[in-house]
Amino acid sequence: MATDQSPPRQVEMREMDPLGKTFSGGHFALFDLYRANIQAGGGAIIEGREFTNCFIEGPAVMLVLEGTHFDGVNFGPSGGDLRNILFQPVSGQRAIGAIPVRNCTFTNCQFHTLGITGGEDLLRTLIEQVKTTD
Amino acid sequence: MTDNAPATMSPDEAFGRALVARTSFEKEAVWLPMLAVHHWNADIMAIDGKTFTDCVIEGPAVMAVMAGTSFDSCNMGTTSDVKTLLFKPMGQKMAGVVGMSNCKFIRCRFAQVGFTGSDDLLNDLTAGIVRQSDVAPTGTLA
Repeated sequence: MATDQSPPRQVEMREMDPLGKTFSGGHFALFDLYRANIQAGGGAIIEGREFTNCFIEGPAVMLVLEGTHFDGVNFGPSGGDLRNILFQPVSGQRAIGAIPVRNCTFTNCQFHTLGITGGEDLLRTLIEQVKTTD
Repeated sequence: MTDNAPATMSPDEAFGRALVARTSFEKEAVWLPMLAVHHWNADIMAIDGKTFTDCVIEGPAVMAVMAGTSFDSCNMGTTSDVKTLLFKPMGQKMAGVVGMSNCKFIRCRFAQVGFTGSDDLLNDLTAGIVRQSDVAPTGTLA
């Protein structure tokens, strides 16, 4: 399952198609992908993508919606407590300012300066299943 | 002899350094994530001591409202439920947010920006924010 042990950082900057379905080995800011996705007509939700071996950074808070999975993901430094990267949306219905991600998979990715928000079940699962090492 | 010529700075780096050095912004659109990145590149982890007047503050971003930051006559966002703008941290630290301390926002409009901070802050924002649709165009934060 996912951990936050740090793998070597891949520093690769290259052009991306914001509407692409698969991203492999890329290094980008999540807010850049969000904005480019909107400008390209992809809408306000990052949906149906597969991210593999990507380095994804903030500042951003990711709103994890249904169908999104994390496998072998390094969530970044958490100070030994994953709750340090987690936020509860006060509303429970919407989370303005967070970047919504739905039906996406993140495999062997590294996150940096990303917070995570979502429903209670998601937050509970992350706390229970993600191992912290820093 | 040695070559003591200083390393040249890229235009983007020079722009970022100039942005970080500014203490006031007026009638501008400010993209909050990029403002944060430029500060972090300068090893400044929280945006401090800046005044924003009549600006549009754009996300997507979640602002950590830190000590000394205030909002005067701001439109915090078009929403029917102010709680949709607010995030409660689950830990003692906060990742992924844009920390702002001793900053003043005067007659600014926020777009796609959420807010987080202490429980007292979240309660104050919940009690004080007025929906854009309920007030005169400029909006008011009590």
